[in-house]
Amino acid sequence: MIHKFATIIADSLFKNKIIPDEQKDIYIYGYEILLSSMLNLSLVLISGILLHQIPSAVIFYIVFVITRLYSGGYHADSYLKCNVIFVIVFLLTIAVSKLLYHEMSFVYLIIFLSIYIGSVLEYAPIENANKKLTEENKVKYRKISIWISVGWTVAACILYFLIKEYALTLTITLVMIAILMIVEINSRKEMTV
Amino acid sequence: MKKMILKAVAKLGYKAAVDAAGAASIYGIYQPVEPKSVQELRNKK
Repeated sequence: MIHKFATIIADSLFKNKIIPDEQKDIYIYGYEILLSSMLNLSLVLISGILLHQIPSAVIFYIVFVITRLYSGGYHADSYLKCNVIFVIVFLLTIAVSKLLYHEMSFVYLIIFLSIYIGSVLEYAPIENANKKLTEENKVKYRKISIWISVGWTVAACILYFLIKEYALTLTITLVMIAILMIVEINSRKEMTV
Repeated sequence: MKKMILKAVAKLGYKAAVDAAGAASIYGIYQPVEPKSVQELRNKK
């Protein structure tokens, strides 16, 4: 359905002589990205509003998007699965954060962050079959992923002493990203066996 | 006015495609098939 809407928009632009025919696929791709990301954001925000966790929803979305821009990870094979899994991951992040709030010491925070950093060092970037990366890009994205992980680690450590709840949300989001990376790598290993 | 709006919409779509070309994964958990023309945009970047 998202692809259909994206095509309708691109066709309309072509009919109005705004874009050339040979570039239509670029625009369709761009609108698919825009529409699916708007849907993802809406679902997370609505979930956040219903759970009275709007700041956590915002933190989750920003951390998730920025991190995966360069680390890659698990990808669903349809928009429907994508949106369902995205919301489930968000809900799990909130649930785990709430469960661990009183037990979470700074040491545990560092342990969780280490899991995330370990995954980045081991696997990033993970390319997708629908989006091949050049060797040059892999090296570039790996460096950026590592710097992003350093940034999030510093942010989580500082936030822990300011607003522990948000530090937890940030950290658990990173752990979820790490889990998705591991799931993707393992599913590929199973396919090659 | 209509053409102005359509041009703005076109710019938005093109920018989204170009930005997506420079990333390993974009926004959500589904990656649509990247057209060759977008790959060429990335190689030009």
